[in-house]
Formats: sequence, structure tokens, C-alpha cells
Amino acid sequence: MRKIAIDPVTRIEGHARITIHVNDDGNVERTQFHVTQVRGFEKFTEGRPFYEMPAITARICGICPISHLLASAKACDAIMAVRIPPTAAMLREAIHCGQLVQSHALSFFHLSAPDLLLGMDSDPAKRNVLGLAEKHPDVVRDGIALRKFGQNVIERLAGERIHPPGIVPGGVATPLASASRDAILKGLPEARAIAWRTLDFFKTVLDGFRPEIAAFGDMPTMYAGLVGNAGELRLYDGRIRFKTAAGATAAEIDPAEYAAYIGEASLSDSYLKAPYFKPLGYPAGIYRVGPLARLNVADCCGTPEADKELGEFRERFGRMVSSSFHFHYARLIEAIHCLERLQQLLENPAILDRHVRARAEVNAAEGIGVAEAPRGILIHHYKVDENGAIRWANLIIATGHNNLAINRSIEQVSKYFVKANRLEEGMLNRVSAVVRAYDPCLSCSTHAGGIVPMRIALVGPRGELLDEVSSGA
Amino acid sequence: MAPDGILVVGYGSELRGDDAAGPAAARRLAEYGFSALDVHQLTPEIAERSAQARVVFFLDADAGLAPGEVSRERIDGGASAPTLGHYATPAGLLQMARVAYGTAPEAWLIRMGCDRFEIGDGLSAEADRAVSRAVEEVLAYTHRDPCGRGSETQPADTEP
Repeated sequence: MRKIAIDPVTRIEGHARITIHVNDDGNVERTQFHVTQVRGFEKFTEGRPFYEMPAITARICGICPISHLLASAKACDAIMAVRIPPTAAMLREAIHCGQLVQSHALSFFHLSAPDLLLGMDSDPAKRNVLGLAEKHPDVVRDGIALRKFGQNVIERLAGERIHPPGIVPGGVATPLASASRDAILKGLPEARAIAWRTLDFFKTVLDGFRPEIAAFGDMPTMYAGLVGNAGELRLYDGRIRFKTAAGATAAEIDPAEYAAYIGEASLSDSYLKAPYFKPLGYPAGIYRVGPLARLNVADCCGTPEADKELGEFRERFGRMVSSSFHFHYARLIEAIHCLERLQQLLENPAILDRHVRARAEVNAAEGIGVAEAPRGILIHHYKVDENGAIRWANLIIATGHNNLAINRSIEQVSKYFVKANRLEEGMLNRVSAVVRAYDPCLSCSTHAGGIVPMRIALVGPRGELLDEVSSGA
Repeated sequence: MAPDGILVVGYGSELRGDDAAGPAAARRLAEYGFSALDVHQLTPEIAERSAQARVVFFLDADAGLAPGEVSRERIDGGASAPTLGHYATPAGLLQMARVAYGTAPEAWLIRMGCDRFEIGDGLSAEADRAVSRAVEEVLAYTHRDPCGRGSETQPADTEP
């Protein structure tokens, strides 16, 4: 058997390596996705006061720090055994909407649009955001403007764009000023227009990706995501719903019960653990999270424009959409939903209430906080001593949930596109692109940091390295 | 953007010692009335802001220069400019400004020699000297009064 390695994988968050084993006939036998970094936040936070956890764990990531702030603050709320003021919950959700918009914009426009709008086989020297700007400057301007809008929302509501101090145990640090609310509302129409025209534009190019839609992780798996009482898409809170590939609800649980339903397998060739649905065991309990999974498990989005788009999405691809290529489509529908939801929250007069924080000492020895990060369910679980010092922490990150699915997607796309003993750029780009479809944040999932390199290596039946390509280092 | 169309962009981590020289220089230049960005890292949004400027100065700590020394070099953001991946460069942003917004300003990279990048805040004496020299460099190039500090102070923006 021979082996191809893609190392580093580019245009993702963090470091990864892909190994593709091929047999003497040049056909792919198996693949492996290795995450090659580790940071260990769960360990070095032991002994810290619980109320420091939001600020510490937010440093796991510069893209989705808000998700860590929210999940961590919710775990702290549970340790204090407080119910935060309703306005604080609204403000947290509004901040979260801003983050999802900026993160989805980054993923779609800056990381994946070069593949999607220039083509998987286009000149690799130009298949980047600059090449995109040459061909579609309006799309790039839209991407910058939409991400900037999301960042502005975070800055105005939480204090800073990257690691804001505004989300704290018990609620948020400060009430919202009407001037900030009005400024965000003023920018919403343009942001919504961008999201709409981007989705409309994306729909026009979809038919050009039929092979990728068929081979980019189009497989039966379970799905998991948060839903509200009416089964609607929820991003800040809700119950975790697991659905089977066929669409049946396998479980719908309080997030505090996660440990009974989610197991974590350790892999010998990767620092990234592989969560699975415990009742089915490992690896049969493979499930996907993130935008596509959320739309699959939810009955509806709960906002009118997004629901209209969701209806068209389901009409076109079915009630349970199985190709991971459609993470991109789902991301754009979610962006529309977040902008609608943001408007609903900001137009509620209660958003300006001054009571935004509950205060308490340690009242529980354990706390679990869950939110939907841009890439999927994020779980923070802490145990503290009587003084509130962290005794134990467990973080399950969105990208981790998708680990098994990413591995299988790589195998599927490799078997479809890699047909030789020598690496060709177009085939390798597709292998990388299927990873990018999940928008993985490896810095988060191993709690590790760094730039984004990826290597692909081709190894023969006796373990000999036949070819190797590196990029992004 | 100030009426003179000059933008200064200081970038670096405030938590890695002398790497904060860029943001520190931007804040000092803001005290002279410059439109200033004080950011952790360069992001694509700065391309939009740069496209609105006549002249942009990028200010960055540099371990390759002798501590305390300063250099100024022209950036053209031409076809050979590095692409934007997970981190942006001044040249990449200029190229982005040109292709996405149809215009790119005259741009300069001012590198400040520093050698202490350990975790922690506060600049070393050498980095502080480099920041002062970088500020003088910008003032001289733009014919600003070096005694004009505080006369037109405006806070540096933390984001584009």
C-alpha cells in the first residue's frame, strides 16, 4: 500500500495533516486526519478561580472567543446557581449573533469562496482571496463588510472584538446604551442585503459542484444541535437533539446530561479526540454538528427569512441533507437567521434594561455550560472546590464532534478524486476543501494555537513516501 | 480619516513584551492628530480603511533589526505581494485595497528593532527608544511639528 499525506491543510484554523494510503493499483485504501497540536487548557486551568474561566478559555481561539465566553460563563452561572437577568440573556444572545455572522463570513468569503467561486481546479496561485478580489471584487467587499458588521456588534455589545470583557459569570458586565443599539440597527439593512445577495449568488454556482456534492462527505451519520421548545434552531441555549441519518429523533436531552450521551474516544494518531453518541458506541455513534447538522435537527429556524431559505434548501436537497458540501449553504442560511434574530433582540425595549448581572458565591460543586459555536456544540464542564477553585475541567469543542465525520469525508473524497500514485493539485485541493467545508477550528478543538499549515503525503504499500506537498506554513 | 488622508497602523501583541511597539507607536502618533489604528494583528478590514487613505504607515516590531533601531521602507503591494491566508501582511493588504477597492495608498513599513518578546506587558528601554524614533520618522516625513503632541489628540482606534 502507498500513502499520500497532505500536511499542512490550508485555510483552516490550526494545524492538520492528512495521510492517504493507496494500494499498488493507485486506488485509495484508507485515510487519516491527524491534528498535530495540543495546548492543554483543561489541565492548566486546574486551581484557577472559576470566575476567571471565561477570560482564560476565551484565549483558546481568536475566531470564536465569544462561544467560549458564553459556554464558560454559563458553566459559572451553574456553579453560582443563579438565573441570570433576562436582559443579560438577550445581550449574550445578541453578541453571539454578531460572532456567528463574523465567523461565517470569514469561513465563507475568506477561506472557502476562492474554491467555490474560482473553481477547485483554478490556478492555485490565484485561488485565494486576492484572486477572488480580482474576479469578484464586489464579493470580497461584501465579505469584508459583513465580517466587519459582526465584529462591530461584538465590540459595541461586549467591549472589544476579539476577547471582550463584557460576558461575565452571572450575566454581562454593562447594560446596553441606546446609542449602541441604534448604531447596530442602522447597519443591519446593509448586512442583511449582503447575506441575501451572497446566498443568491451561491445558489447560481451550486450546479457546478455536483461531483463535490456527491463526494464531500455525503454519508449517513447522526446529527446533533440545540433546539428550542418549539423545535426551532437555537444558538445560545436549548436542548441537545440527536437525530438519526433518516431523521428520527434519537434523543433530546438537557445539556447537563451530555456525559450520558456523548463519549470521547482517544485516537492514537491525532491529538483531537473523537466524540460519539454513546448509546451506539464507537465508532457507530458518529454524528455531525455545525450549521448543516443544526438545520437537519431543527424543525425550523424560527425567523421568517431564514425559514423561507430553509424551505427552499430542503425542497432542493431533502429533509435530511447529507452532503457536507452543504455546510456552506447552511452557513449562509444561518447568517440570515442571525441577522434577523439580532434585529428581534435589539428591537425589544427590554434590551436596554439596566439589570444585567446576578452575583453569588459558589453554590454548586459542578457547572456545565453549552452553546452553539459557529462550528457546532461547545461544552464547558467544571468541577470546583468549596473555594471555587477549578478541580477538573472538560471541554468538548465543535470540531471535535466532527472528527469522525471529517475523517470519513476525507476518505470518501479521496476515493473519488485521488486515482494515481502522484499528487495532483486539483485532487489535493478537494481533499483540503472537504476539511474546510466543516470550517474546523483545530486551535479550539485541541485547545491549541498557531497558523494554519497542512501537509499531504503519499505513501506506498510498504510505507515508502511517494510524494509530498506542503502549503501554508 | 483625518483630512490629511494619513493613516497609521500599529500592530502587535500587547502580551508579548516588545511586540507591543507597533500599537504603542500608533497611540503616540494619535496624540499628534493622526488617524491611527492600534491592533493586535492585520486583518482584511484594514484594506478597506487603507483604500480611503492617501498615505499609510504600518508600524511593526522587528527582531531582525538591532534593538532601538528603526527602518522605513516603501511597500508597493504589487503582483508579488504575499497572498492573504491566515495572517495578513502590509503588502497583501495594499494589494487587496487595489483589487477590491480600486485604489491603494502610498504606503510605508516602519520596522522597529526589538528583542524581548517574552510573555508579559511593557516595552523594554530599547523598544521604547525605537518607538520614539518611529514617531519622529513619521513626523518628519509628514512635516508635522514634533512639539505638536497633544494639540490635536484623538484616540487610536482599536479596530478598523
